[in-house]
Amino acid sequence: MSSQAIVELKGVNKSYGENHVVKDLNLTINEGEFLSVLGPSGCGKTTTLRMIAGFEQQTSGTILVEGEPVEDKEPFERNVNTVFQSYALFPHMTVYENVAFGLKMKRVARNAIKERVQEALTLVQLEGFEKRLPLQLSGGQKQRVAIARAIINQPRVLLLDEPLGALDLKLRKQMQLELKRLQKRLGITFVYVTHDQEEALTMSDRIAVMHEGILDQLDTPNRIYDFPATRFVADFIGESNIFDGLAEPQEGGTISVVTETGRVLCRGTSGFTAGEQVQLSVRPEKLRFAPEPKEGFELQGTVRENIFVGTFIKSILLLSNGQEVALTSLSGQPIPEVDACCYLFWEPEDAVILHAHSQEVWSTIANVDLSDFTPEASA
Amino acid sequence: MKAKTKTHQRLMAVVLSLIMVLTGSLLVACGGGGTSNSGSSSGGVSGGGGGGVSGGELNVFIWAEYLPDSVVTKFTEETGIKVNVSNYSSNEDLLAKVQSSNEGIYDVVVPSDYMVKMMAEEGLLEELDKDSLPNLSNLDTSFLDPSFDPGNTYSLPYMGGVAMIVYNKNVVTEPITGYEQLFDPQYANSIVALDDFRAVIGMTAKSLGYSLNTTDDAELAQVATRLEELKPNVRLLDSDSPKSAMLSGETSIGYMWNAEVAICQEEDDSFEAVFPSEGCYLFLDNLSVLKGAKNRENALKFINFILEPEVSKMISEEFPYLNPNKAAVALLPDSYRDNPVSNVPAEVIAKGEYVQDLGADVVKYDELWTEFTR
Amino acid sequence: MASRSAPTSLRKRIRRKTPLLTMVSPVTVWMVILIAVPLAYVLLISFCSTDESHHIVFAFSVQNYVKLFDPTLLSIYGNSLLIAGLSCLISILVGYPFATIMANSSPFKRTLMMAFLMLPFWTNSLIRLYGWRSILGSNGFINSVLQELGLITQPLELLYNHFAVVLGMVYVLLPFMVLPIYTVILKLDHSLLEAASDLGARPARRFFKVTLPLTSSGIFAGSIMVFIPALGYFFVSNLMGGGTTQLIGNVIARQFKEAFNWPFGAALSIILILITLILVRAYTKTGGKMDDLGAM
Repeated sequence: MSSQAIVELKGVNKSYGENHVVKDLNLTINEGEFLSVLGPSGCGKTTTLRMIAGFEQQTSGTILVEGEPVEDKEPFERNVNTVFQSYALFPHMTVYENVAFGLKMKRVARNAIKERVQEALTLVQLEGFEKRLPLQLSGGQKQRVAIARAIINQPRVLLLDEPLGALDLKLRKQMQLELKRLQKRLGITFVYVTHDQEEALTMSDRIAVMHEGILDQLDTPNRIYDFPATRFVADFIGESNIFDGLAEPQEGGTISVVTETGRVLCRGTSGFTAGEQVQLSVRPEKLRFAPEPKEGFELQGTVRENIFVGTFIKSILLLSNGQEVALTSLSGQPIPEVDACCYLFWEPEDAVILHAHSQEVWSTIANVDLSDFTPEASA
Repeated sequence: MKAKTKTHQRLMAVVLSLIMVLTGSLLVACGGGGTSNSGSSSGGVSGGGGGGVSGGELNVFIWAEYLPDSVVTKFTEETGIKVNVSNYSSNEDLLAKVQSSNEGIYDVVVPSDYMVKMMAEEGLLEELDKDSLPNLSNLDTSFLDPSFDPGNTYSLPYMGGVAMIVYNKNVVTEPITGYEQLFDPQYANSIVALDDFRAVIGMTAKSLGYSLNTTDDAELAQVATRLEELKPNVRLLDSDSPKSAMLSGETSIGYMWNAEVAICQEEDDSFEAVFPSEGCYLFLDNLSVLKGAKNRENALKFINFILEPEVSKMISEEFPYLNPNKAAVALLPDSYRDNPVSNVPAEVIAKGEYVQDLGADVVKYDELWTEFTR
Repeated sequence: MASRSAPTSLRKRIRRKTPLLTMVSPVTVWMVILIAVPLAYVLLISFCSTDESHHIVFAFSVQNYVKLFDPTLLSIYGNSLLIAGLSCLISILVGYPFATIMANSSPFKRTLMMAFLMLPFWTNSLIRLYGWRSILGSNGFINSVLQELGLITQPLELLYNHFAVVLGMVYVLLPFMVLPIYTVILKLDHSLLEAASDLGARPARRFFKVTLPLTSSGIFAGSIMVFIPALGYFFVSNLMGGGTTQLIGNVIARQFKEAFNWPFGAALSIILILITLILVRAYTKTGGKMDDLGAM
């Protein structure tokens, strides 16, 4: 995979009056990659996409496409194309005319248009639909037309704004695969905006997770899942058990974390100081039952529920401080009965430790509590 | 499910239409009750107010802006008769309403000359009992026994007027004496005329020495040619306020009603008024009683009242038309009496001509007019 | 089963018998009384004639329709169509930008523009046209200003011609053009315009390829609502054209008033109704919705 930057956002801000929707965004999109911009609604992901397309002008910062700033370029002058959430097919034009639109605007010769439209329609498996009007198409077919129309101009970057949002689940799954295949085949850079974390994980080469206008994390799906950079990412992508506590770095790169419900272990990178307030994120499938306390773990819980979910069983446990945690184990493995008390642990490298600096309110309250507690524990 | 909603809709339709029908009939019932109620109550009031003079009601159907309220009030005070006044804006309106209403809705109507004839022929008018109209003697005889109602069998003159020429002395240097000059090419685009096909075509016929009611095809053929000559001279056709075009200087020659000419002269003394030598187009609105009038006695009382000099003077003061009541004219100020444009001289009236209904031949005039105004 | 079929069949029987009572809704009754009956009467008398004292004689004849082909009348029809067409065209040229600006304004400005558009309707249009006469007249506002500035020596002929009639029509009928266009522009999906830009359409091409076709139903609806009255608004031609520029409406009005020739007037009206029907049919054929026409 080439790692040449094709779109760069440098310190981009966007405000609508008082409303600051994109905050100091730095993002580099590489040529040929499938990049998802993921986040809940209102996180600024669509605004980001629209700034790249040219429908919105950033309040400050620079956007470079193919190394050139595009501030002064109108949408029709930018070598990017968009697939709209609502498809935005021209209702008064046939499928053929819709797809041919971009080429006509570029005054491509008639014969060449015909050839390329056929090609594009073949690519999205819509041969024979040329004469239909958008009104006569199903949701999935409209989606394909929208894609064919957007790729016909052979843009360097294709921007997709929640393109599968309106489709039903089954069709969405199918289109996900098709889109991924199409992207590989065309070698165009895809910038794919979605709020569906599963979709982002399945399709993307890299994911940019946005939250309240801020880029929380930009990484591969694997690393996003395994090593969420913020509590938000940990929560938003997949399911996570979050533990708050104070770090106590140990010899050999492990960190012991003192939580309200007892001590736990994790593998830590450098940069955590003794007594620093941290958060631990542990995926349910990484959390394990233990018949007796494991070394370094003082975590205990009571089983509230065991839910059978096909290939695995999900257990909900209540910790002594009232916090609920989830634990999944493969079906068939022995698990404690409901109301049984049990010890919990995880492999230290399976927990992700995060600085808790964003949780200011919590820390001011907690600091008071734990400053008393710390000398005792260390004593 | 679908069938169910359909039945529902149908049910709703039935219920709704029932409601509509019921409320409809209720409204009708209420309306009927309301009318009869108000009728009896107003009867009671007028009976009381009349103080035993004679009382009763009278329904007058007359042109808008033609009968002062003060006159109506005075009549009610003197006789105790309650007067209901309704208005129309053209003779054709009057005819249509009288023909389409029940007999007896109106008692007194005020048709113009030719309409008196039409209505009389239709049998819509009652013969007037002259014995109960002593004030008849106040009228100027030159307005009596008109062509449209010989012997004044059905009508007596109310107010009238003539169409005449006015021109701006500052612009038109050669004095104008008759219609003849209106066809002079030197006055291109400088005439305002009444937007009335009988007035314009009639004037053209008169300029050739024919009657303004001619239906002779040979004469009308000449009229057609003459109209073509008039066309380039006519800048504007306007019946509502032809004086405006004169006063604003849009046009320098006007062919309009004498009342409008009088106002022109009041505003600006550069306007010269002319009674065309070929004879004038006269109009006369007339008091008549409708056939089947419920309040025939009261109607005659009202007409006689209108013919009183004092009353007629009141009308003239408010609406300064040509007044055929010579006793009333005597009471009017010099400014009216001595101004021939207001108080049109008898010889002009005598020489003038009323418009007549042309019967089926009106089509010929309509065709001429369509050609003239295309 | 048996017990259930009895009420069903009863219901069916009722249903079979009720349509006459229930399907004829009060609205339909009103429509028949207020529209269908008068129209049928107009059609009927258009085949009649009149006698000496102007009474309608119910004897079938097509003479009124034959008379329609009189060259003078044909030229009046042509003139009317020309004036109505011009009024329509100018209304589009003025109304479309107005509607666009209005649709793209803030709600406050929108209300303001709507008020400017609708407020004159609170005054009788005759009075407003008299106002135009005092602006356009020989000694009117425009001529006075131009003469004062020394730009002209002789007053311009602004009144009592085709130009003035068209101006009056546009002035009186413009709201009927603006409102349907405004409604359609408001409903226009903005993302379609973005899509067009995105695909490389410059503003002008975007307008002609996307905006205009998608708002054409509004233009068509507005055109019908301007064109048809413009054929018949004889008071406009009377006031602004000085009575010397007749429209077919003037001829019709005269048949019913001074000329006492209702049958001929009816025949003339039937032709107008036919033109209207053809236009409306063309409108719905091309995908226009009747609702947008009746939205007024």
